[in-house]
Amino acid sequence: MTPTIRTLWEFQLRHALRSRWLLFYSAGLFLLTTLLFRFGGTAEQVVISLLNVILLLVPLISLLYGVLGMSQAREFLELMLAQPLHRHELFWGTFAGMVLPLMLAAPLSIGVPWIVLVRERWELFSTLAVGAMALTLMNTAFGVAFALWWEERLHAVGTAFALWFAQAVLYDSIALLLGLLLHEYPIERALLVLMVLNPIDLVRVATLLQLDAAALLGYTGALLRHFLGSLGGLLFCAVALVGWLLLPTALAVRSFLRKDF
Amino acid sequence: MIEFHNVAKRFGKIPVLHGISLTIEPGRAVAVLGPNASGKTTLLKCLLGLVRPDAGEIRVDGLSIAHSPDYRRRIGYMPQQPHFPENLRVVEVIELVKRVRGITTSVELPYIERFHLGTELQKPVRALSGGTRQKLSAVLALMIAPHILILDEPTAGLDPAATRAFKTELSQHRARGSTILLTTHVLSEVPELVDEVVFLLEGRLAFRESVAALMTSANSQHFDEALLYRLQQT
Repeated sequence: MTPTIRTLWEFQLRHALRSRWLLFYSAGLFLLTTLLFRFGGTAEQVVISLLNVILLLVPLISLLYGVLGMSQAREFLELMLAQPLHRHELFWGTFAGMVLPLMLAAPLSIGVPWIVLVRERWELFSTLAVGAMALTLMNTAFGVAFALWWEERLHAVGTAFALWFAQAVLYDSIALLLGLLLHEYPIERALLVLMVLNPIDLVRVATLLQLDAAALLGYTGALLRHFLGSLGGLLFCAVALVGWLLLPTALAVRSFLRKDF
Repeated sequence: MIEFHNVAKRFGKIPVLHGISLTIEPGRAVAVLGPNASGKTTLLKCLLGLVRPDAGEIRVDGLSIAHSPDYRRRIGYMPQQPHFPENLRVVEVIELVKRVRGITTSVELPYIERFHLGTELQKPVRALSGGTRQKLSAVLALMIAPHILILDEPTAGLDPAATRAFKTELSQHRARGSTILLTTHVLSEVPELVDEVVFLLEGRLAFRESVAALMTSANSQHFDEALLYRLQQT
């Protein structure tokens, strides 16, 4: 990390940590987790409830955070690009400062009530925390890339909503439809490939593989456990998620380096 | 010395600059004028590296700007609409720019005093008016003692006292030999800010002439009349 990246990162971090968005998001997640642990039953039951919230909320919040954060920073980035620094330094300093607080928000908001009220099943907490952090990083990077692609903020927000809808809603419908229509054909491996295309499903399956909740695994998750077992399935999800972290980050970097401000 | 050699740029299908060639000697103060969408801001942004030209080359002091951002160490820039991270305090924005530039001395203090920003230093940027943001932008551009000043509508949003202070600063920088490149829509202030005018029309260099020559040939004391007269000759 160059001194310039460190400086930019530090100031972007100060800016992000004072954001009301981040405060409301963290407080909301903290309150929800606390309430679920108080009234939601066992750790496993709470994890299943929390998982559904995280899978829907984290990608949406991260996408919007990425789009709005980059759109609002555009003119300031202009000013910073007029300073003697390289574009890649400005990108990494700004992006790291922007994404790190949001990445830590979910593990901290869930972790504090977990430490106080649960104090066990750390493997579940770890998977949930890592999954939330991965979803945050990849979706924030997508949001940043959309904000750089589109001049109009509304277009970037629209693209972000479309991606969220595809991940969170459309994908399940397509997987289910394919399963129903083509159940007489050997489509299992094709469905596993389809699973790789959706990071939300990867996080969902990776978490549920550690629970005794086979009914909740869904079609793709059940197939994964059938073919690879729980540990193999977990590794499969982890490798696929790394790919999902690299892709949007690479897109965002490439867009930033080529952008006319 | 700033040199533009056949600089061309298009945004999508829309051509914005058509092979602009221009040399600005050290110590000159030049206004880049033209109607809206004539390519003024794009030309300045090309010089800063904010916009990548599709063709041509830009050199500063003989070195192409494409290879290293170091040439920007000598450039102070005031954008048209200054924006800063809303949650940072004014003092933090100044500190950020100083640290990125490796400045360790209190170079900003005289400018903070001149633009009466002392009481604003601890305020978050979101609490600042447009005019105060413009003053902060002026402090950031001037405090580095730049060899080249690039100013995009620098007095827009400044109150009369700040405008006066800014013009005084600019004349001091000119006296010290800084090169100044600015755009403005306030034609009346052109004669007191610059020596020369570069006029762009639809991304092409329409003419380049000294302010004195423009006013003499039009036989007018008013710069806007002189400019109109010159445009009719083009």
